[in-house]
Amino acid sequence: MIAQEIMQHYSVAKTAQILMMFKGGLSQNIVVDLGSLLQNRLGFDVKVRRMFGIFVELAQNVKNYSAETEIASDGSSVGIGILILADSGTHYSVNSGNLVLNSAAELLKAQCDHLMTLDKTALKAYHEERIESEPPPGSKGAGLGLIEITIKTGGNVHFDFASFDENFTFFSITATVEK
Amino acid sequence: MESLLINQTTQTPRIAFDAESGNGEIIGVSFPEHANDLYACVHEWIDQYFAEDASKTLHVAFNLNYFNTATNKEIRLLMKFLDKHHSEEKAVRITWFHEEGDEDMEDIGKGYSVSLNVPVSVEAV
Repeated sequence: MIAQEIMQHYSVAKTAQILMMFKGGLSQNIVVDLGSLLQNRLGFDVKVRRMFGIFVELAQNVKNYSAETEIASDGSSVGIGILILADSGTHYSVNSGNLVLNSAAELLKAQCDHLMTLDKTALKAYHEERIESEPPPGSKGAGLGLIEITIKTGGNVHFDFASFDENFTFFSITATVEK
Repeated sequence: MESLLINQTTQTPRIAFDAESGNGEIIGVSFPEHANDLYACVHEWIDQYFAEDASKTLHVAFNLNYFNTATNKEIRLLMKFLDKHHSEEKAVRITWFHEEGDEDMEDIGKGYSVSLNVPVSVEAV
């Protein structure tokens, strides 16, 4: 029975061409370690670096904004989520998923929808505007992550939401870059 | 005054500013948790460097092959800070190194060479 269960995990990972999957609290140390693992596995040429940049942004996004948290070994509170990196042969796909409060999901969805309406020029102008202004209230980074991911992927990013329970919504980001 | 030296880690660059020669370099990758804390010391060091003798020269070399968005903002602030010193008649120049073929990094450097008054030389290595 155990072998059956593990084989199912294995088959899913194999079919989806998963290079790496992590579910848990994403402290900065874990992000750095996962980054080292990626570099050991794939090297660090210019295309890997572009994927790596998206990977770090998604990981730090989960760490800072997931509604589900735990206390890391260094005592800090960190967000819990899932990160999946897959290799389709021609592209890398970087996926993240985490819980957000239902009450916060609507605003987040509006922000994501807005990004999807912008072309390259408008995205760069929006990025410029945001980098010059103070981070929005509640932002723990520069408040630029989603904009940069959209720019770096050339728009090949998909934001999605699924109902989790009466309190939470599951928020996923799928970003694809050429190998 | 003392030189500034912060050793490279897996998440932060080597930051070295020599008080004698006026040569500074920021080399490696940068995606720390608190990017502003890391780069604040560079601002302090440069202010002190010119406070001692405003006629000194400063050359800052950036040689980064990856940084996160929070660092991107810090680099922007540092560039503007260097531009401000340049506008106050200080002898400041910047070299922005990028790997041959890394268009993302090359574009960022070229953006600075256009938008700033301080001389920014963009060079492939």
